[in-house]
Amino acid sequence: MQIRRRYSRSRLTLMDAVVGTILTLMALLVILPFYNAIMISFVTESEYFRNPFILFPHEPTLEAYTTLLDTGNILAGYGNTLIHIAIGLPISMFITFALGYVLSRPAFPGRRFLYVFVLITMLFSGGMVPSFLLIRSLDLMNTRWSVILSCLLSTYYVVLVTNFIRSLPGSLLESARLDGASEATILVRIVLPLSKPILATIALFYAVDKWNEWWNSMLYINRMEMYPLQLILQNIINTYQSATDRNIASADALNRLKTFSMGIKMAAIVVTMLPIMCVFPFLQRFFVKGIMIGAVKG
Amino acid sequence: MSARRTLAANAPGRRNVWIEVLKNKEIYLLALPAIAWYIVFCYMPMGGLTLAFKSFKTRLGILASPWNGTTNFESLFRDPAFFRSVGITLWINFIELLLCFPAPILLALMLNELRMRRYKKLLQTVYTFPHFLSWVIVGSIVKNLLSVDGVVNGLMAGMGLDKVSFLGNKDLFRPLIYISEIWKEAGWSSIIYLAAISGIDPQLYEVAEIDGASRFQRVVNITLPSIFPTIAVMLILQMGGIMGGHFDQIYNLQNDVIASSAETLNLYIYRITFQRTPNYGFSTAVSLFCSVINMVLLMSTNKVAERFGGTGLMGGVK
Repeated sequence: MQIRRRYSRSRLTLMDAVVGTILTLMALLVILPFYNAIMISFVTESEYFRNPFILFPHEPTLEAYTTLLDTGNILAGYGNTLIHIAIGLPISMFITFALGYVLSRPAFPGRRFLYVFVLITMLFSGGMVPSFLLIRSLDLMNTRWSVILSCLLSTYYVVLVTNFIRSLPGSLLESARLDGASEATILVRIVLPLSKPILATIALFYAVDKWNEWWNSMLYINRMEMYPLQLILQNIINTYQSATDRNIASADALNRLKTFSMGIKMAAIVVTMLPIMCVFPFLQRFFVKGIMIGAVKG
Repeated sequence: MSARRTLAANAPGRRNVWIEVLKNKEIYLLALPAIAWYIVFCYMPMGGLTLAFKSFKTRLGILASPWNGTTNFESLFRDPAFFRSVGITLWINFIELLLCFPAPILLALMLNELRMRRYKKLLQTVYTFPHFLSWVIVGSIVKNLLSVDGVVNGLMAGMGLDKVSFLGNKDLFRPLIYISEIWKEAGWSSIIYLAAISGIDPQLYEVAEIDGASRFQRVVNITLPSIFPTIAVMLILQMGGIMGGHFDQIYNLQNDVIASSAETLNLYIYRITFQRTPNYGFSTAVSLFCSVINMVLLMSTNKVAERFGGTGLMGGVK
């Protein structure tokens, strides 16, 4: 704190100017691609080909979005992803929090074993093929449960919860225990209300992970109508991916024949990232808090 | 807590362990769902790694399939595509260590020097945002920017330059991997370093200022050395992924033209598993091979770090 005040009292130096400029330019480099994608989704084909660098659409149109809704399975994708989150998130939260709490308890027989049992999975995994065969032998192929169960738990988030609960005042829990409260009571009545910040963080992390999930779905689901949003998006991108980047000469001719594929692709991207985009600026501090707990406490 | 611990310590014997277990039965009950999940979805696939030493028969399943010794590994070491992808993976990860690993550190150092706190918060929000998007989205945005009729080519045409096929050029694809990696992840990774920086004792800076150290000197001689333990831990973790990584990124950025030149081990495993007549035993052998090398590297860098006085990984986890 003291340092900050001292810094801000002294006059601006060359370093301030350089650092400020570089950081601002980098922020622009992050923002502009998104801005460009959003703008492209609102313009007509002719405007795009006149100049792809669109600061503001002159003849805004929703054509790309109507085409997207008509042709793509984007709504089904939205539905599937939301179902995955609606079912998976509560289960994930419950299991993660319960395990995180257990690992934060100081002494019970087998605690060390349990810790190692959990942490090993961060270092080593069976990999793609055994997991794939497991899902197949469990008869979960082409079911929602294949995806929901595969990404149910993240060991990293368990560790975050454990670290957080450990940082709570231990005397509080101990006195409740002396008063004869059961573990379940302590968990629900004392630990849970104190853990709201970490619960919010973990819930957000899980929600984003599930929103972005496509790998397990790609492996375990082959029916288009069950695809989550990310896979639908990938499909749209691949379908409309022209020969553009392979052969320049033929591409220019090709591009003018087709429907305005770029607009549709960008509309699909915008629709897919919209929820995160709307929510992120307001919740960013929760995400940051989460990683701080994991990084600093340790 | 302490009462319980002394009780357990003062009363040895097997019976007391069971009394303790009984006393804690609710704890085990709470952990049960998680344990069940770990067994089924983590440990059973780990057991499935035995497939690396078997020839898989769909009818028989993993357990009943016949052992074939090291046949899978022998054919693995005869496959030139495997060695090519080992080379590509090592090379990409090595350059990434040189270019992408320092990026968040630099970013954190710069952000820390920025005085306007509000603006700093805003910038941080901007930088961390791409981390929360999938590579499906980021890959599509990058493709859009760099396509032949995209913005970058448009700007270059405006400057009188020729159009460049960024995505179809083998020489340009790898730089694209590093740049897009930095673009997506540097902001998020910098948070860890910023957290470490915020833990530095302010008195250090004050003393240095009294001694006449310039701001740049203070960054180099105080901030950087103070976050060195954090850098070491991140480096160890990075070493544990030297044979893997980049699947999402490359899968969503690649196209047929450059596919072979950017086939890292993960993509190689994916291709031989799903795009040919599958030989699951062989695929598993590849992934086991990579996992073991990753583990060994992680452990040995961790040992080295501990020897050189760092806390190592376990200092961070326990």
